[in-house]
Amino acid sequence: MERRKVLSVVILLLAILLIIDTASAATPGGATVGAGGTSTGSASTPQTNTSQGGYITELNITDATQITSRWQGYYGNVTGGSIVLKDSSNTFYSWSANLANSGYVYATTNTGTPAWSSVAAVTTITDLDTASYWNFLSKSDNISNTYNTTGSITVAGTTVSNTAKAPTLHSNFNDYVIQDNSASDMSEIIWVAAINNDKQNFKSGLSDYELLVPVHATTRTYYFYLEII
Amino acid sequence: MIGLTASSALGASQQVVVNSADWQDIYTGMHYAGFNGLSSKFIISSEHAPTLLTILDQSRKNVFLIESDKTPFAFGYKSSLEAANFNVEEIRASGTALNIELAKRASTKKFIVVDDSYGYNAISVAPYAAKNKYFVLLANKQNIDEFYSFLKNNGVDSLIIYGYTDIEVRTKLTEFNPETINRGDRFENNLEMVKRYGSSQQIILTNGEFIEEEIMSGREPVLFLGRESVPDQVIEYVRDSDIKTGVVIGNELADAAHQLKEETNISIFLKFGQGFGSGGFAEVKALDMFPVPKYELNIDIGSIKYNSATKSLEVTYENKGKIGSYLRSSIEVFSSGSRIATLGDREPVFVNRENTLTVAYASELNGENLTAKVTTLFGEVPRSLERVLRKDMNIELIRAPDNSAFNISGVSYDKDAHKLRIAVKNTGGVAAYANAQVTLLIYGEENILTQNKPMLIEPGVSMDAVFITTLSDTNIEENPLVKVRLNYGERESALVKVLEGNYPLEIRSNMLIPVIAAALVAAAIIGIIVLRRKRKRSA
Repeated sequence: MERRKVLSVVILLLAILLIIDTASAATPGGATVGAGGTSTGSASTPQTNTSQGGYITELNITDATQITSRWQGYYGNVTGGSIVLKDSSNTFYSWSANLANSGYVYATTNTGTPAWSSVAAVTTITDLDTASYWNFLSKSDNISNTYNTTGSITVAGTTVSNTAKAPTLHSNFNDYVIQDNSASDMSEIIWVAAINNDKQNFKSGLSDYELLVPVHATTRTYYFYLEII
Repeated sequence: MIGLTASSALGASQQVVVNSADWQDIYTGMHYAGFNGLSSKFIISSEHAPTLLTILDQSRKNVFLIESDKTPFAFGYKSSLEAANFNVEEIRASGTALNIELAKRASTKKFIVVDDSYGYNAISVAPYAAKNKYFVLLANKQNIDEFYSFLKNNGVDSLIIYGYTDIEVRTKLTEFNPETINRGDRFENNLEMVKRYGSSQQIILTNGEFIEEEIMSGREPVLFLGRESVPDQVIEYVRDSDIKTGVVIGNELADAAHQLKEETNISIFLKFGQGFGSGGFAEVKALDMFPVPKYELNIDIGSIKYNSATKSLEVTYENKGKIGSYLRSSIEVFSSGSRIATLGDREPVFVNRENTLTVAYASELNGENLTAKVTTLFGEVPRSLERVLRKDMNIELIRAPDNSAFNISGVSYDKDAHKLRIAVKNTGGVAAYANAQVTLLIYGEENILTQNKPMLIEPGVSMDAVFITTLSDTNIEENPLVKVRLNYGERESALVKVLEGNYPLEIRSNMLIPVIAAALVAAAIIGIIVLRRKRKRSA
């Protein structure tokens, strides 16, 4: 009788743990790519186990894959322009050129144009997690855990040193965070992707950049820039 | 009638949304937002309307909706916004009525007037206007009376007329002592606005062909690049200024921007797209841009004929564009591949919009298989022939005598009828065609008036070439002599002869009423005299 009581309690506890685990999955599995080309992946399917009285069952709770709702990824190519020798209407000679070769792609929610000559490093990345603009706090996929190293970039001829950096999963692309000192709210934050021409992207295709930007509680528009060099 | 509705308990507007397919409404609405420091969005298509609801800033709940009462992209957008939890104040109007209503709401006595046919002028003034609290009015000769009434009632402390405007617009606005900015060239005019904006280390680079949110905000001045290359005066200005960074809006100008960078060493950023952060992976989409009217210069050569009867090479130019153009040609003539002559224009020639002009170049050409290699420079103003047409053509041989002859007997202006008349007489022995062109100085600017269709005049007959235009007393004083050019000939398609000169401007007004009044007065005086004499005799 005593053993049955203990067994029932254990089974009950395990069942409670299973329910909690299922409820905490971030998004349902299965995705549809609609107009606009936004896609997201499938979460792993929660497992079930049927409980039966009188038995002790080993049940290992392994890591489950969840789809983040806090980040959006942009990827693509920076197609080249041309350099020409010409008069007002006729071309004497033309060279193909990648006008932004080895530069950066920038994304910001600032509706105005950033003051590019006064950008600076983001050195206290944890401030972004606590800001109500994103409110990621101590989540596993917060900004601090993503942009978790530092690096330097050059913007408008000025080196921005020791700014927060996030190497992407495949290490072909690096992303950074900088800020526009002339702005007064979190829209001053600028997310930066270093252009690395024709490198393998997350889909095993080729891209010039991959950029990870945080998602706000309410949909915001990101504006994209690149520096012509 | 302007429709106005507002949600109850609506506070001050926090953002502006424009729902119209007319660029003027979008421009006026975005300008109003920039004037008041508000963010703004516009719908670019009916498909875009529901998408816009999801990307509007939800932290700015109070929306000022400007919906066209004639051509909205989405009908009744107010209810869609309210369903998306926005508080909406709505105005339903369009065109001139909307422009005036928003000008009233701007509560300013400073205005800039531009012609509504030249979108790039409207773009050029927008940042300066927003920053310095001038409201932009899009005027032409049809709506100037409405704007005049508004300005008269509102009061005017400062008025700028920018770029080309109709004569009637300038005449009507003279009582407000306007300042005119028109250097005759869109780049020169734009540079003037950039200088007035004031020193800035960062500048927006565009070509004035579309509306975009940042351009209309007034946060930075707007500097025009050429579509394919950067004009020299722009390069010089940037070199001499404090500008360190340029931001190009849109991908099409990347090459011109790169040229500017190479020439001036400033940093150039390209604003090329937008994305909506809602999770997952997404493409970067194009910016929301709305095109404004632009007029392309479009000169072609229709035909080249050698007229052995008149010993002249007749080149027919076609202006297929919607604005008048000046052109100057250099023509190499070849006979079986060997050059035998080089002809051309010493001075630029004006060809009116959507019109043709045949120019005869005197030369005796002998040879076979005649061909011509033509290089024609053309542009909006004589000193800025920035475009080039190169064309190789066969020369057609014709024999067409032309015995036409005309003279110009006088130029007069009828103040009451607002008509300028050029008295033309066919002094030749054959019926012939004549087409008149007049150059007037209007408030210091040259204006060219051209007849749309040649007149057919019989020998010995006089006829007036009539131009309907309003000249103020000031304009009349500016033109004691009027430059007239008469193109004429026996063939309507080849008015190869030219008569040019400066003629005194005679003023005429309707004397009927004064004459009748004088006659009545004279009759009264005579009557009084006769009556007095009769009384004396009887006395």
